[in-house]
Amino acid sequence: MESVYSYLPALILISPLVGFFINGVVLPLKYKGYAKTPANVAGGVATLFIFLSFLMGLKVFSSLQGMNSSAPAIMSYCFEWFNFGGLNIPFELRIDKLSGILVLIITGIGTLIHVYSTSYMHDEECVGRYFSYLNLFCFNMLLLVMGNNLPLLFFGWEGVGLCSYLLIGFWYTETEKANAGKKAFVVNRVGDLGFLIGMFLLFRELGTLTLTDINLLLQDAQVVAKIMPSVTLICVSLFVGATGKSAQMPLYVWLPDAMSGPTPVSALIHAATMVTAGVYMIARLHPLFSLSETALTLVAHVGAFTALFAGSIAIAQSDIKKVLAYSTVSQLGFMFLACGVGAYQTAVFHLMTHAFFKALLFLGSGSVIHACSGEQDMTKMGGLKKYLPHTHFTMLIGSLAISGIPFFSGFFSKDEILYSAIALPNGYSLLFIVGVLTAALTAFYTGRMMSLTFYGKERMSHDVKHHLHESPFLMTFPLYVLAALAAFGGFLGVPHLLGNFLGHMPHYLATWLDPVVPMKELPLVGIKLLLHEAVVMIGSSIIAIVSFGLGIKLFKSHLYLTDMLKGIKGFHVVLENKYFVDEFYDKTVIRFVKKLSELSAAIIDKLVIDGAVNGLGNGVRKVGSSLRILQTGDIQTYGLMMLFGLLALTALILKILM
Amino acid sequence: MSLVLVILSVISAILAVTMLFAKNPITSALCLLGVLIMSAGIYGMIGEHMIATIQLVVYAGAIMVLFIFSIMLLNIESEKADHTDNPGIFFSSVALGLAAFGMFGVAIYKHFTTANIYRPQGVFSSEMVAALGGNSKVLSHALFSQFYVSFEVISLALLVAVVGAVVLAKRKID
Amino acid sequence: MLTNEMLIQLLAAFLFSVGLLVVLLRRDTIMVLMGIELLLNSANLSLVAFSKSAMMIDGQMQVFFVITIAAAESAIGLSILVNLYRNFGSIKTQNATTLRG
Repeated sequence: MESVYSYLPALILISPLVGFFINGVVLPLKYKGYAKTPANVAGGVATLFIFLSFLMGLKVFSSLQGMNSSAPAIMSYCFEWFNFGGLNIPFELRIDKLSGILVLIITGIGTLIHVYSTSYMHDEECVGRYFSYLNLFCFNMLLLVMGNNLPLLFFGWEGVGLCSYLLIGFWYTETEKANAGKKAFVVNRVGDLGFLIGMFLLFRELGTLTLTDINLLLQDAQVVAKIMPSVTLICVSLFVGATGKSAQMPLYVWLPDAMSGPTPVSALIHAATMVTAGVYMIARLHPLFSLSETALTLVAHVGAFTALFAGSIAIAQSDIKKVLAYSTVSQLGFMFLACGVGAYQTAVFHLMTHAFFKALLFLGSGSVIHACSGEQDMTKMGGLKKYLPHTHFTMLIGSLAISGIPFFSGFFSKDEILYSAIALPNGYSLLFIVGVLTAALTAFYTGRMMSLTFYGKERMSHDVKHHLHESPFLMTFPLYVLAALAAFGGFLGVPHLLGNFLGHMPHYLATWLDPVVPMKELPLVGIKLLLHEAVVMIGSSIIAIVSFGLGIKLFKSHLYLTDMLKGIKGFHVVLENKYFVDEFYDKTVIRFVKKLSELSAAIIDKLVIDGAVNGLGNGVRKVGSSLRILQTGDIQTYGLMMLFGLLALTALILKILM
Repeated sequence: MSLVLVILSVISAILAVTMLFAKNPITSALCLLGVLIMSAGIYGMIGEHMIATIQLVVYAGAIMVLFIFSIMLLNIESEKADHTDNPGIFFSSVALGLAAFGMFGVAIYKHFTTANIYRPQGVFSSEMVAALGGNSKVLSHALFSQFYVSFEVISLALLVAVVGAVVLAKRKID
Repeated sequence: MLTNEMLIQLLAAFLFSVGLLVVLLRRDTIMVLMGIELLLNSANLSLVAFSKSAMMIDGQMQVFFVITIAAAESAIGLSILVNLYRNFGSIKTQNATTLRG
């Protein structure tokens, strides 16, 4: 492991923070208020700083390639944050092969989304505030992936939670949107408690929180023996944090509500970056997780279950952004499934391709919504293909990618996950079957979404139809860039089977990540391996193509599944209402917490705390009143008291002197 | 233990106690005057002729006259209240006064009877003083040579006192 | 054995105590001022007697200055007394209790 110290990581981190400061403080001072800052200036400033980070990230990435060691890293030591007891936490940033990829994703897709936002939010009020929050979010996310110790990771973790609250509730004057922001923050916090507990337990066992040291210590057999009794608890606690942040069961409920925020926010935060923090954490701490079979099984099963669950809900939604939200939850489930069976590399690969196509889909949906003057309900769209050609083309590519149609990016990553689910020692047939079902569902609802939006009859209202226009260049340009990435990004990870056919193309990502994030050894080798892989590949391709085609064809003329299969009406209602999970939480947990807080306010706050504070004040006043009697105002009384004191002192001195 | 000293002391003590208990302020003032004159007598008896003179001129002659002028000017009446209208204060004051006298007495007794304590000794015995020209000459010579700084400062203090007294007692002209 | 010096010292202590009692017990401000004069005088007496028995002149010089300052202080005291009389109409010490808590 070779580390070089440089200023670049710190600069990459600081750059969006400077943008936040300028957009948040300097520009409003100059233009006298957020409302009067022109959108172009704010957007331009924000984009500039995140683009600078991207350029610096590219430079770091190329330096990493140039370094000789197998696990190179570029570090940046900023200052000493905590150092007392046994706890030494420096503010240290580290870009190695894994975080390098993530830094490029964050800054690259971040730049595209900033460019898109400049045009999308052009007519909104207080745009300066929006861009300052976006930059702050990028700062926190970069801190999360670049921090070299768990507290810094947690700092970024909390920071992105905060920024997601600020951005989801951007239009805070509308109560529903403000509540959505609150919900996101509170649910995240519940998960963060698990993360904190895991962090504390880890520190107690290992005595250090620096990530490199942790991974180093866990190679020592004695340390492993010492940590074994509590390792499952640690991993499960950390995973609870990940379920909060990455929207898995049971803490996924905030993600669909988070669609109340502006669409570029959904693209950046809920597709490409924040929700992948949990996956990143598990990939980073993979030596720790590999020690606990139970935890990994839990991760895999929760991931698989969430994937299927969310996928089933997505078929019945009519809001285009909700479909994409549940799709995100489902794809994240896939990533956790991959982590759970030990295929950490594949999880990171899917993270990357998911960032590309999901951001593309969200931005495309934003373009559609922008064109339809704010209409988000797919049942009121249709036949938009001829009005929005660019959007249609790019979204089609995105849909093909997410469905796993061969040779698009999603195909490679999803296929690898499915194969790991059945081939690796930790996976087994149930997970594989769930994975395949979910893949089929994904293709199906994505096809449905495309069909309801772009094909079929035009169901828009008259006014909307009048204002239909293709989005401006600043919105379509990022769409095309992302479409290119979604289409060709998969070729970074071509498996050996196909690589042999395509001119011995290696699995770039695997060779890049191998030293840092390993892949479990596949049990089969040689021809048996290739046969297995081929069967899975061909099978999944067929399922994907069929489901996608079915989705498109069926929904050209129908709106919901119930239109065709009348029998499942009841089940469809359940699906449409997201299995009534929110209502369930409300009746059980939230009601209890509300009662507890009422009790707390009435008794503990009013009686105990106020009683103590007021009682102290009253007591002091009483003492003062009783001492007041001594002050008679009569000088001779004072003289008497003085004389008494003087005589006492003199007697003391005489006693001592004599 | 000269007889003159005993007589002077006894008369001083009686006058002081009378001053304490007299109702009429003029009586108290005259008793105080008496005490001061007795003190001057004691000074003279010791051989401190200069101090005795100053005591009579300044203390008895100026200060007490000033007091009697004030009493007459402000037309202060005799005190009617009994001392025991606040018995707590009365008895505790008397007790403290007695305690103070007791402490001083013990200290004085111990000073004069303990054998080996430090008693400073100077050179100005009576013969020496007589040889140098008498008490006044010795004191004045010391005042203007050894203590001349204090002398100048005292004159400044007196100036301040004069100005202060005038300012304080002035009637505010509206 | 009761020597001369000892008698003078005892007299000074007695006068001091009486002066204290005058200050504490009398209810007219002018009596308080007179008690203060008595205190100062008794201190002078003690000083002179010790100075003479130790055959030094320092005590006597100090007495010189103490008498001067006592004079200045009584002048100021009487001015304050006049002010007090003007503000309250009488010189009883019970009047001056505005600093009562």
